[in-house]
Amino acid sequence: MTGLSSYLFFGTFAAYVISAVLYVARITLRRRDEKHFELADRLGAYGFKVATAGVVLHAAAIAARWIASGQVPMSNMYEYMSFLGWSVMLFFVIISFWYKLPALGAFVAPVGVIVIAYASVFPTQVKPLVPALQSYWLPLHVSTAALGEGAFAVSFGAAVMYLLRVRKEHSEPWEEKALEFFFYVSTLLIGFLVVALGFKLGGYEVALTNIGQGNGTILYTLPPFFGPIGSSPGDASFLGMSLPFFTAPTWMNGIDAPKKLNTLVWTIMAGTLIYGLLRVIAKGPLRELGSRAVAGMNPKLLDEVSYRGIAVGFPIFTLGAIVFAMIWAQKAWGSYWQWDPKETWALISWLFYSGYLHMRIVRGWEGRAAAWVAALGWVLILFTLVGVNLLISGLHSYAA
Amino acid sequence: MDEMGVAPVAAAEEEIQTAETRKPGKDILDRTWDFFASVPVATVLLFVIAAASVGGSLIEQESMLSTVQAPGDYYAARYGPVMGTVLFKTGMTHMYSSWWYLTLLFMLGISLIICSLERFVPLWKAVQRPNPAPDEGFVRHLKNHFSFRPHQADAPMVALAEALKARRYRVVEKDGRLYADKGRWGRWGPYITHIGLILVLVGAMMRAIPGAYFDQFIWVRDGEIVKVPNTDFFIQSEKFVAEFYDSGAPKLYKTEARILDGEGKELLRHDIVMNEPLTFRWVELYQSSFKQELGKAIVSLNERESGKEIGTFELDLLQPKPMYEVGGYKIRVVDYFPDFGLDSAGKPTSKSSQVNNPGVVAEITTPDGNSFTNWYFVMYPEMEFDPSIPVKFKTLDMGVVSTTGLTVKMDLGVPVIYLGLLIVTLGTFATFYIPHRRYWAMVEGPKVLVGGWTNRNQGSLVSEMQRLGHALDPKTNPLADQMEGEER
Amino acid sequence: MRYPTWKRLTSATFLTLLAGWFLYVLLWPNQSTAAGTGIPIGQAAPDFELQTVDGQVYRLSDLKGKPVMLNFFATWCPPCRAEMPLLEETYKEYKDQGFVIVAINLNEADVAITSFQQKLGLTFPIVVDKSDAVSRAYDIVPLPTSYFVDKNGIVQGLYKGEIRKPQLLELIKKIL
Repeated sequence: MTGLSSYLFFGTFAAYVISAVLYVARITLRRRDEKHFELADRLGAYGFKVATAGVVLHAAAIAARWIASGQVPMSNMYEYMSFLGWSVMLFFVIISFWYKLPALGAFVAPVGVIVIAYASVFPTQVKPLVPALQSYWLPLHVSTAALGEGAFAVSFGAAVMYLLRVRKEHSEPWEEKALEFFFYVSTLLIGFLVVALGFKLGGYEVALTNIGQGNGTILYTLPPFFGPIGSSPGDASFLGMSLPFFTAPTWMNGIDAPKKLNTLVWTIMAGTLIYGLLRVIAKGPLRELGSRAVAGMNPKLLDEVSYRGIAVGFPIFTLGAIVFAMIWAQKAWGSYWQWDPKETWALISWLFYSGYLHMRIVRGWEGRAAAWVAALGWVLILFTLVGVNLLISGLHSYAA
Repeated sequence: MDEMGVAPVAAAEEEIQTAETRKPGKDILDRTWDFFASVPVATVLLFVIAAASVGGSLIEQESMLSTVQAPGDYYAARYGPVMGTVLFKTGMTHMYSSWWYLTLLFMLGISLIICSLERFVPLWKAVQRPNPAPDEGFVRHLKNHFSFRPHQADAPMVALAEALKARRYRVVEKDGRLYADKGRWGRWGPYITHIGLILVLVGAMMRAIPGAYFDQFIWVRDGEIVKVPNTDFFIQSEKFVAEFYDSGAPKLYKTEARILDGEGKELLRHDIVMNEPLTFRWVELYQSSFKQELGKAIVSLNERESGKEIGTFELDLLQPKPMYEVGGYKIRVVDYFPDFGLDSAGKPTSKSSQVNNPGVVAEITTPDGNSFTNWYFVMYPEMEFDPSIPVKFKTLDMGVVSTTGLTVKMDLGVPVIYLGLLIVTLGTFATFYIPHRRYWAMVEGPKVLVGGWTNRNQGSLVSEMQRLGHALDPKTNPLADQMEGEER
Repeated sequence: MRYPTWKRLTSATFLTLLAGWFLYVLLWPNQSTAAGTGIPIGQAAPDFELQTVDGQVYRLSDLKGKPVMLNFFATWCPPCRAEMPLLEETYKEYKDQGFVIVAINLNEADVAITSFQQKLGLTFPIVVDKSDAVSRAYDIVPLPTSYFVDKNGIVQGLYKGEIRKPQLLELIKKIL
């Protein structure tokens, strides 16, 4: 059954990638020439069908893993991220069905692909639950929160489209820079995934001694440009290079800090390379490419879709990330709120989206300002899910 | 706002003016009301609190510190003398209990209440007591319309009323006009949510009421009976159980517990497992820690010369008894060092209270009344200070004793918080999942004009109106393709 | 035209509450939430009920009307041992004025406590904090730590580490 689940998961991944490619192809063709419209729309229809099939396959993969392991697959980062990817794609399918807006696919399907790819970076073995996680509140809390976040992802995509669409009419210089930065950060994510998955498939691993942490070792899964203190050139090699070139600075003394630094360097290198390539292909800033893709679309509708994603997701997110979280915290730790970093960041996201919902009823704040908040909201969600684990530790240590 | 049913522009219904009109003659009370009733103010408060919370999660908080240093000194060392002092003095290092963070929360609470009051009354009138026959201009100015030619000219509204009733609308007819609506709960959603949030804040504030909250921690050794702090009952841990998976990861932590009253009568017997606390008289006991230490040793007393065993006894290493009797010999425990070592002056001492290397000073009295004093090291019985005495201890076995660590909590605010959370959940779902839709219809020449309004999901209102219009009069209202987002 | 009375009353209530809150913030000393900061001076000392090795029960609330010094210690801690003769001497000197020392041991074996008491000739009561509850309530981090509680049960002084005679006398003066 675990094997079946892996095959299904691989199929899902392929489906999401194909669907994203179809959607991007559709939007590219559509901007060319009227005579391609029919073909483009057919590609879009296929994209929708493949995405729907992917969602079904994915649900089957999750179910198979559940049956195989006997526990709800919601207990480690791989399972959680996979579920988040599923809910992103599920809400994409639902909302793009409601609004008949295939162009959304070119922006949201890649988000789904990124989330799923990030899931695959984590170890996929089924691990039995430690006592702290043995509660039905774990799957309840985690799945509900993820569903809400999935809907927010659709809103994020639509908000970015809206910003790209309206920037031709009006845009402040900081908005231009911020949009371009958005694209750059997205390519960094892609860069990280390409590098991490590439070396994972290649099976690259090297253990380096780390004097900084009591003579332990750090297991590197990427070729170490930056080694821990105590490592020296020649400890590792890659493409004939004698690595590591440098050791991490001494003030970086957190657990695995040299490894995180090395990963960051790899991410920036790969991401910048991809960004540069895309710029060459686009013959200009990526925001221009994005604007061309959404040219002629109805900004009111994009705005509406962005709002709808949040309107649909907010109650679910409130239930999962705040209500269930508080009840479980009370049951497990004896306190419904302890200002644990993860809790705090869930609250920050919740306050942020509450702010968004109130902005919508204030005249003058409902257009671009609200769209920026909707777009940033998902960045906060991502930080809550990933950044808090990497940068701040807390009680939610299972995710690390 | 159109809420009185007279203002013409329905779309502006939920829009709130950004600039509060500050008429002369408003005093501080009126202006306080205006300030807290303003949605922009509430929005800004939400974002400011979010931003402040970010700060609190990035700066190391005092409650997380584990240092003997005074916190002020710690931050001066951690963030530099100037920065550290500023952070510490402004309360950034205990953000969530700092006076200004609490002030922000307090202001948000006031805003929640006043915003709700300000809008609730007019909304109540508009939603619960709508005007079924408003100004004709009002109906014409609605954003969405359709019209149809009625089959029965003398009763033009009958078919429409039937169709709407079938769709579970509440229909009112007055002066030849028709008004219908459904989903009123959706309009109350935001207020329900706000009431829930206020309850959550009230529940959290209940911790300040004396006697409504405490947070304690106790260690209970296997078999021991300990008074539960702040209560009049006792807890006994019959046994603490720790189980592990093959990988070494923990599988189960369990305390087999009994609750006893002052006389030792059993009131409750219940296991305490993580995620399943024991609840007794509003007090909850949580499995939160444990330790396992060397707790007992089976010791034999032997004749030194022959090695013959005189007898055995169980020595409690956590709480040695003052006296043990073995085969007529009396062993008095004179002194005990659970973690034996020598101090700077070379005198025997214990390095801690952990049972790491237990050493006992024993006075042994033989059956015929002779007394000797000797050291006995449970882990190193061969090490003796006086090997000349005629008897000798031998360690036959050692055993581990578990101690469970329980958090003892009472928080009478929790039921209030749970109720608040339930209401918040109902409120948010009502807000976003129950759209309030309204129709006004009037006769206009040979046709009936129907105007529609909704507070959410314009798209689904439009398609409902298309379907309604088509069903009532297919000729006037052919089914159109649904709107596509992209213009060609 | 002023707003209706109910609105103005609501405004007035919240303004008063806000003003009261600011007054509270201004007048109340800046409190730290860090572990090991101890109970702030001026606050009530948490009540406890502990037993000596012989089973004699001591409640802090029963000692109301007397100046009390609470000395948290362990027999294995060298500075705790070092300050004991000074405590004994001072106890004898001020006993007539109602002064009480309650030494609170951090859950050690009875034998170790009795032997410690006998070796050092201590005459003030030593109670045992079996479950760590009291040392947690008093937020004890370094050993020894001494609290000075006045006749009304209010904390008037706190000393961390081995205490010397001048400091001890000064703190006792505050509670006599």
